[in-house]
Parts: sequence; C-alpha cells; structure tokens
Amino acid sequence: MASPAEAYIGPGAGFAIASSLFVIVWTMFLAFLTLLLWPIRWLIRSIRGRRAFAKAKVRRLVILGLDGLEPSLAEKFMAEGKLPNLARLAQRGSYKKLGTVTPPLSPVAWSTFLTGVNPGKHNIYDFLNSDRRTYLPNLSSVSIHPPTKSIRLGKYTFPLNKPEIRLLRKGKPFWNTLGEHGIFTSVIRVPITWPPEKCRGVVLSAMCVPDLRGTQGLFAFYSTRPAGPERTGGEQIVVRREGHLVRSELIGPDNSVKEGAGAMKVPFTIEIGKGKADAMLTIGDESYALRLGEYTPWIIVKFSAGAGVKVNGICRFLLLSIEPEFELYVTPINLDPEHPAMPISFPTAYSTYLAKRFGSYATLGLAEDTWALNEELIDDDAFLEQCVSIDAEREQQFFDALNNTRRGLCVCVFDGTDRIQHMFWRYLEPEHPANPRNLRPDYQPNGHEKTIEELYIRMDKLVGDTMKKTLDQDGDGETMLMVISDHGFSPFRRGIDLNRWLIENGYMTLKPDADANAKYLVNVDWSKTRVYALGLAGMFINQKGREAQGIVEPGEEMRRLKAEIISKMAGLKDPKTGDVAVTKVQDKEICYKGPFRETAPDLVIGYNRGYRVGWDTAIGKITPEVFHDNTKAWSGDHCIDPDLIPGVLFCSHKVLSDSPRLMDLGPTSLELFGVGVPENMDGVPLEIQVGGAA
Amino acid sequence: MDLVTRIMTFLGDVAFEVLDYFSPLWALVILSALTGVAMLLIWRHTSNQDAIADVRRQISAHLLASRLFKDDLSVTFRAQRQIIWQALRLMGHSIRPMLIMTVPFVLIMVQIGLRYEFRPMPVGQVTRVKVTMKDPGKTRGHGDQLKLPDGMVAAANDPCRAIPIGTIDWRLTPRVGGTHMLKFGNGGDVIELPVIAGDGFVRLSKFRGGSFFQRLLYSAEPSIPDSSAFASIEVFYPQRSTAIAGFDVHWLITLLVLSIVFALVFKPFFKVHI
Repeated sequence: MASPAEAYIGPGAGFAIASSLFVIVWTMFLAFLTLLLWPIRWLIRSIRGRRAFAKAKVRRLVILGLDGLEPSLAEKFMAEGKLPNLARLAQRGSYKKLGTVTPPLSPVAWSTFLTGVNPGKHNIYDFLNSDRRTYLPNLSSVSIHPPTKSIRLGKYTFPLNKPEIRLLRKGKPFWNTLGEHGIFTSVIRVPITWPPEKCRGVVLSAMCVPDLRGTQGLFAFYSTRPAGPERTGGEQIVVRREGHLVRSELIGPDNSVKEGAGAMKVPFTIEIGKGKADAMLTIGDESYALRLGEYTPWIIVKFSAGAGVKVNGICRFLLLSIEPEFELYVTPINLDPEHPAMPISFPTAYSTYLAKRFGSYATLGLAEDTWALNEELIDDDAFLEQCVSIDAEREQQFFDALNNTRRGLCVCVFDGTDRIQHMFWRYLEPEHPANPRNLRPDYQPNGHEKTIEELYIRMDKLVGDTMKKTLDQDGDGETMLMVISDHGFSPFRRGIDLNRWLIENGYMTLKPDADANAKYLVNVDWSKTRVYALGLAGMFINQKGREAQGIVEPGEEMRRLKAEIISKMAGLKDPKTGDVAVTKVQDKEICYKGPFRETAPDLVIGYNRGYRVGWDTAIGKITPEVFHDNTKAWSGDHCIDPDLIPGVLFCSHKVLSDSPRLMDLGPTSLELFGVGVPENMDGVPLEIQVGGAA
Repeated sequence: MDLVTRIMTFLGDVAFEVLDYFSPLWALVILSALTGVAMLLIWRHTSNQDAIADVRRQISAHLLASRLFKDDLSVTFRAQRQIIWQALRLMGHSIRPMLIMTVPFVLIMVQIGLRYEFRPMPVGQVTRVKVTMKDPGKTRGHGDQLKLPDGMVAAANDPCRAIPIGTIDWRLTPRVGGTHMLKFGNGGDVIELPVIAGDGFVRLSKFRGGSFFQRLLYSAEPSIPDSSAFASIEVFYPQRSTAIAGFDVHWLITLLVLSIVFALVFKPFFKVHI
C-alpha cells in the first residue's frame, strides 16, 4: 500500500471527522429505513382499524392551560387594552367563564379536566388525604413503595426491582382514549400526570413529581446565623466562615444501598471574593461564579451511594448575602431530567430529549419555591425570577411540542400564573393584612403592585405567540386553540381554624395539657372527637369502623351530624369584619358521585372570597382563635366556594354552550376528533361551531 | 527544516529505545494509546468544548425526536435534516483543532513511519537505488559515481542512466545484513547515505534530498547542500505490513483505528467532548 503524504494526518483528521461522518451516514440510513417502513406502518394501522382523523372536525387541538387565570382580572385588563391577544382570540371565537370543581384546587381540577369525570370517579380531593388509620396526612395522588426484592452483599443492598410508584388518581385521561384511535398527543406538565402513563404520544409529568429527596420540594438555606425556628418547606444549615472560605454539603436522598450511611451528600466550597464574581462555588470538578442576587444556571449534582451507584439531581444556587452574615439559598434538588432517578415522562426518553434539546429544566411538581418566599428567605424579586425562568423553560417545551404535533392534541399547563398570584395578591389590595404597607411602616412601593398585571401581559404575549404558531400559521381553520384556567383567584386575607371552631362547638376535644405547637392532630382526644379537619378541602367525621378510633356510627347518626354542621357552619361570620366567611358546606354524598367517594372529606367547605382554611388547620395544628389574619406572602388563593371562582375558556372557535365546565373539555376534545365519549365521563361535549357547523 | 528533522529524529530514537523492548505490534499499540491520549489533550485545549458539547446534545436530541415523533413523517425528516446540519456544524468545529493537531502529528507520524513504513533491504535480493541530478547534463558518468561498501554488490551492467530526466539507477544486492554506507560522487562532490539490510524494525530513510514533502515525510537524513550537483537519492526499500489476525494491515490503518479507539475509551476520564 502506498503511503501518500495526506495519510499522515490520518489519526488527527479521522478523529475529528469520523464521528461526524458516521452521524451523517447513520442518519441517511435511518431516513431510508423510515421511508421503507412508512407504508408498512400505515398498512398495519389500517388493518387494525385505527383510521385516525377520519371523522375528526379538527386536525389539531391545542389546549393552553394558564393555572388560576382569574376571569375578573382578565376582563379588566382586556377592557384596558392590555391583553390584545386574548381579546383577539375572544373576538375571533369565544370567551366564557369555565365552571370549576369542588374543591377548586389544582390537583382536583386538572384531574377532572383530564379524565372528564367528577372527583368521586378520579379519587383526588386535595393535595393531601387523611389516612383513616393514623389520622396522618398522605399525598393524595401517589404512593411510593421501596423495591420489594434486593440482594445483600456485605454492607451493600442492591435492589433487584424498581420502587413501586403507584398513581392514586383513577380514571383514564382523555388523550389515552384519543391514542386508542390513533391520535397523537403531546402533554406538557399537566398536573397529576405522575407517574407518567403510557399513551400514544409524549407526556412530561408535573404536579406531585417529587424532588430528589422524595419530598414535594425542600429548599436549603445555608447561613452563618444561628439556626432559627423550624422552616416550612426547607431547612437551614448553619455554616462557618473561615476567612474567605465557606464549606458545606448538599444533602441528598437517603443512601438505600449502603447500610447505615444516612443521607448522601455532595460537598461544596464557596470562595468569597474570588475572581470577578462575588464568590466562586466549587462543586465536584466544576466551578461557578456566584453574584449577589443572581441565580446560577441549573447545576448537575451527582450523589454517590457507593459501589458505583450514582443519583443525579439539579439545583440552582442564589447568593443572598456575604456580609455581615453569609447566606445562600439552594432550590430543592430536582430530578435531573436527562438522567432521572425515577421516570418523569412517557416515554422515559422524552424528558431526556427535552434536556438535550434545551438544557436542564425544573422537574419538581411544584417547581416554584413558594415556601422560600413565605419563610422570607428569598425576596419577591428572587421568587419572581424563579417563576419567570421556569415559565421560559415551559415555553420552549410547549413550542417544541407544537412543532412536533402538527396533527393531534397538544396540551400544556403553565403554573407561573398560579404561583405568582398566590404570592403577589397582597400587592393588589391595600387593605390586605399581608400588604407590605400594613406590615412595615417604612415600606416604599417597589413596583410589585404591577406584578400581577405584568404577569397577565406576559401570558397574553404567550397566547399571541401560540396563535402565530397555530391559527395564523395553519390558516386552514382546522386548528383549534383553547386557553383555559382550572379556577380563578381570590384574596386570602383571613384564615379559619376549622379545628378550633369544632372545639368551640363541641365536636372535637383535646387531650388535657395539650401542646399548642403539635401538628397532625396528635393532641386530639379521639374518644371524644366526632369531627376533625385536615388539609385544605374539608372536614372528616370520626366514623366508627372507618377511622382507627372512630366514635360516630355510620348511617343515621352520621347523616344527622353532617346536617347539623352544615347548618351551623354555612353562613359563618367573621366577627372582625362582619362578613360571611363560609358561604356553603357540602356533603360529599351530594357533591360527588362514583366508586371513590369514600376517600373524600365528608364535608367540603365553601369559603367566601377573602377567606380560606387557616395555615395551621391544613397541617393538623390547633390555634387559640378561629379567625386569623393572613400575613404571609401567600396572600391569594382559590380554595373557596367553587361558584365564586370559575376559570376562563378562550376558544378560537365559537362556543355555543352557555355554561362550559372544566369537566366538559375532555369529552369535547374526543368529539372534535370524532371519537365517541365513554359513558362513564360526567362531562358533555361543548357545542362548538367548527367550519360553519356546530 | 534540518533542525526540526534532527530534533524529531532524536526524540523518535529516544522513544524507540524504550519501545524496542516490546514486539513491533505491541509497540504500535502503545503508540496508538499515547497518540489517542495526546489527541484528546490537544483537542480539549484547542477546540470549543462548550459548542461541541452543545452540538452533540442537539444530535442526540434530534435522534430521540425521530424516535419519539415517528408518527409524523415530516417531523422525522425534519429531525434527520437537523442531525445532518448538526453533524456539519460538528465538522466545522473540528477544523481548528484538526489543523492545529496536524502539525505535531505529522512529525510524530513521520517518526513512526520511518520505522514501520519499510523493511530493510533483504539480504541476497536486489533493491533499487535512484539518484536524481539537478542538471540532467551531469548524468553522464565521470568514472564511478557510486562507491559500494563491502558486502554490497551492484548488477553487472549498472548503472542505468536516464539522461533526459537526470536519473541514475543501481540495482544493489546486499550480501550481509547491517548498515552500509553508500557514497555517491560527482567530481569532488560526494554525498553519503546509510542503507540498512537485513531484518527487524529500524529507522530507514527512503530519501536524502528531494522535494519538501519527501524530505519531511521519509527522511531522517540532513538535506543535500545547495552547492551539490545531486538533487536526491532514493532507496526503494520494500513496503512493510503488519500481520494482524492473519491479515496484512498497513501500520497507518492500525494506528488510525487503535488511536481513535483509545481516544474514545479515555474520553470520559479526560472529560473531553469530541
């Protein structure tokens, strides 16, 4: 063989070019294979009788969920000309209020949206459920059980099967029914879709996806200050500053591989004043510049369990202060979407695809860290920046899904609307107990009075961009766009301690010398308690045979008791304001129908606008007063009387039905694609004018 | 040029002092491993690692997209179009490090080539030696133009002169192995070239003088002085190949494949995106 001069650059050039050439050749091969297999796939589909779109009225249906978008604010801003795109959408098609669910909570509402059934059939009534055997709260939508089979090698235990993640939400998402008829679906971050279910399309899970530690989001706050009171939603870690160095550890999940190893940890070092930044963070082999008040990008952290087992997470750091005290906030450690420790999408590769395409992104169910702001560890600006950047990630994912779903269903929910309204509502109302004017005499307006308005304007731009990519681009009338919210929003000025009310009215008794700070109803004397409250939604009867220490006989006694409480509590007035605080109390037997009604709270409380269940009641803590001012940043809410808090429905086509409900959207989608509505669905298809016909 | 050749030859000789302890094939494997690692290090420091990592991620993403969205033919083809575009981007990002890498690697390859490209003159067999004169007119003989060393004989009717092109050919047969010094004379102008006969892996200079590339790639000898009438001397050593699993494989292919394999194996340890 001759040895031409050019051959001498062989290894270098080959090294550089070989992989690129391989990729090109492989792609050509795949393209050829795709073309070759397409007729076969088409034939198989035809033989199986999945003649997708044969009876469809639309080619593509896009549902953009803006969690908690409040109709009254949308109407006000539209009237002021601040939401031109939503106004254009309403003018082109329809704008209506959308009936929500009981209780109007996101997990309940979105479960109803995606199944088309009332909560009695999908089994989600709240974020938390009461475990009737222990009176302790449980996550309502999911239960996680460790692997059942493992092998032990010395100190190490290796699981032989995966942990069981069981979805407690019942009912079938309507996109699964569409999939059975050959219609492709992209579902991005619709709540209560974790663990992800198999479907024809792609699903990225949302609400209830845990963080790496298995919680619903636990931030970390590193400070040289002595540890303060217990933090809700996170923990403080006291650090010591040695000259310009601060050393500490990120705390990860428990090490289930090595016996007695405790939590896995990743050490990090912060060198203050290094380089051009305010500090330099070194974690693993990588260093990142830290600037006061600026988040780092998502940083991948690898926790080692030993024996080669590693778990990946992602988090962002925010340097809050250097002097006089060092303070650092770290977001909850999210599952790394590129290598998730648990599946967060269907197919599993979808979360990886998105991470590779656009970089790391928040995967935690409730990704925006409301607790860090509620606990006053981060300020309004830092929280807002978190929300905006998460929305930006979502927007990329949504537009990518739109690009990849030219026919079929595309659903995406943005949560920023909900979180920002929860946390910034206090700025809308000067009289709100949490308004900074009422808390700090030296308060100077900082622009956040406009944050909610700006949020609506930002969402309007999102709607405008979506219209460009769907209605304007397709231009054939065969794409339908719906912009919806699962409920509206209302102020949360006063909290009601339901358990104190129950005590005062003789339905609950505490043990003698009860600890005022105890949580989870541990002070309750169950032998003398007939009713208790836990979670956000309502009250439970301490029923004999159902609750571990139940005393109320099912049947007549139970019915009488419920009726008594309904009559006493409905119309309950706030002695401070004179306003009605509770507009109605509903018996679960009346408001829910279905096989899972038994799990529901026995009585569902409908609060008036301005009221909500008190913070302490939700976690089973009992306070001395029934009514409390809410001075927390979490100042807006929606867990009230559902009739007072409808959502919105904007549709690119004319909606002829008078009173659309959230539960009708699933059946409507099925009908738009020409798929029969299953009998068990409670919702009914809306009358919508498509191509001149309703 | 001579200085570079001298330095590289010296470094090559030192390296092969050590590598001579191994069989030629193992020496080539070791060289491939070292080449692979060197490529990685040069690549890491001369390429835009962030951009390459991003391109790689995009290629993976679009590969996944073509699988995830296979329901829609146009999405699949769009993803494949993107993959090809990203592969071209990757090639673009490869140009700079490749060019930088080429310089040291050509010099290293030359040193390996001097040992692996050719076999020494086989004892008892004819090997051709060609001299090219700068002025074809000087091709006509001035007595003996080649002084043969002991242990080397020329064919009876040699040399063969091609006057129009200024070349003189000898067919030489070494009788014994070892290094033989050939002396070419033209009047008082004498040029020497050591040639090696026998077996084994030794450094062989195919050329003395010649074009820039001939000197760069195939010679460890100093260049011919400008005042000399000789343009180049070329020894037609037989080509060498290495037997791997019963196949004769050229050393360059072995090195190319093995160095890439080693680079890929070591890549995670050096945290390099290629």
